[in-house]
Amino acid sequence: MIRKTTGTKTTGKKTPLRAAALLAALLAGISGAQADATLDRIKAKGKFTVGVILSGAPFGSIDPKTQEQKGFNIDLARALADKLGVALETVTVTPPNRVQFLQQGKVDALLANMQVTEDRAKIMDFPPTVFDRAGGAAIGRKDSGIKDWADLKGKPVCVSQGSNFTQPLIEQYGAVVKGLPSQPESLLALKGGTCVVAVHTGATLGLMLEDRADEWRDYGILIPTEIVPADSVVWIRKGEKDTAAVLDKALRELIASGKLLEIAKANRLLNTAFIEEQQKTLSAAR
Amino acid sequence: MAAGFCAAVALWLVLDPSLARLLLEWLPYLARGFAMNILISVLAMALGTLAGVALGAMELSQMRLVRAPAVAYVQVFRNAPHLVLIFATTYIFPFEIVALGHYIPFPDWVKAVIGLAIPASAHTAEITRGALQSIPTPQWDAAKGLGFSRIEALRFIILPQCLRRALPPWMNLTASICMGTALASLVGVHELLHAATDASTAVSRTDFTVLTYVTVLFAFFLFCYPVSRLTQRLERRLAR
Repeated sequence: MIRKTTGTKTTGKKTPLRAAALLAALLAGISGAQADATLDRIKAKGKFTVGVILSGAPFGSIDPKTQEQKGFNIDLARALADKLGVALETVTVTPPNRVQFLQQGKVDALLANMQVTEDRAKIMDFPPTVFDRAGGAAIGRKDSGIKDWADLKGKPVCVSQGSNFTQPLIEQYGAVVKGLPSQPESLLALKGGTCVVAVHTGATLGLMLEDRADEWRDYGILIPTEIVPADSVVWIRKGEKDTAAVLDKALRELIASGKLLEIAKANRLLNTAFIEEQQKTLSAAR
Repeated sequence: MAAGFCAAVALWLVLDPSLARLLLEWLPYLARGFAMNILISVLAMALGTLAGVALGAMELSQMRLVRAPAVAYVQVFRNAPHLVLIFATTYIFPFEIVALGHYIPFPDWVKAVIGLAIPASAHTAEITRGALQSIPTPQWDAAKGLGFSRIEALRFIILPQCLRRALPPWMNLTASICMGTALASLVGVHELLHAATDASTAVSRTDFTVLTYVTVLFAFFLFCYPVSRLTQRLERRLAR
């Protein structure tokens, strides 16, 4: 692998020598590390690589006009890269591949609508500062008679694959969960009658109902409470303490200065109460 | 049937001009995604054919040491689902190579090319082997009698006949590999299916989601149909 990359420079005779020199250089590079591996990489590349999910506005989607990524996740990633003093590179991730991408090292961090759960915390780390709180809302036909999470017992419920609402829906409420590739497919299945409700992040559904009121006039958020509301954090690889510290400081500054609220409002996050609360706490602590 | 289907879609777009406008707006984005499918299929077939022809010849070798590994390779990879191979190549190979402080990326689409080139090579090997074996052995003897060396006989007498016999199944394989490129979306390659999800998420209209998938279907059809028609024509010509 290594030899292949330098193949253009190597002459036939010197190959073993060059390979040895290269190996030595590589080892030196590893042992000479100052901070943890992720932070080193970010600095060496001058680039903060963030895995973002494009699961819909307000968090992330493609702008039809410019065909660029936009949304809360992307703006927050950019603000963090600015704080780190490096450029931002985003990589689109999906629920089935996001954890692999992080663990492979393909991305330095994940801003992929992943709330803190016990299972995730076992395999990944995160800077302790929470930037939002999100839970799942149930969208369904207004005449379906569903009023409470308990009403979903034995009924088919659509979610996106890899959603953290799957487990509580099955274990706590006895729903029959159908995992679809992503939110558009899930909503299509809901309209097609495959399931009684679809459960997705409340903020995404809320914005969709507001923007596309006509299309969804027979549907609504049926249950007033959200399922497993949990903390939204930036996920990083396990044990990357320096990266966690740097990102945590950046997050605290972004929240305290009001920059995060600005980002949330610009992306039309309907409920910013949590961020406002965090801002108060953090700016008071300064 | 295809014409009826196209007419139905056209009627749908005429009845809902806002949908047609949306589709028009997103077509370039979808087209860029599809370019990736084409790139992956062309490269995977090129690599797979080169390796497959060599493997097919190896399968017929008289030396066991040459024959056995080729046969084993072909048997294993001919029977492995494409998705499994794409997953394997994606997660086994590193995503980048670090050399002298430089980070050289090893992009996912290249891994998808390798992941599809492996089954393509195994199938091409079987096609090659079958074609070579289908040439009656007296032809070799006749060539020898006419003073051709073994290599010359292969080049001028056997291979031209093999090529004609191998072409139709090889083109079927091309169509199948082309459709397999959609699997690359599962490992993060930005191809047509990925672009379709992006588009339907951004627009967030269920009718548009359906239309996007119809477009995906249509794109693959447009790419694979000519290949299959050409195969049919070749088969007819060779049958004469």
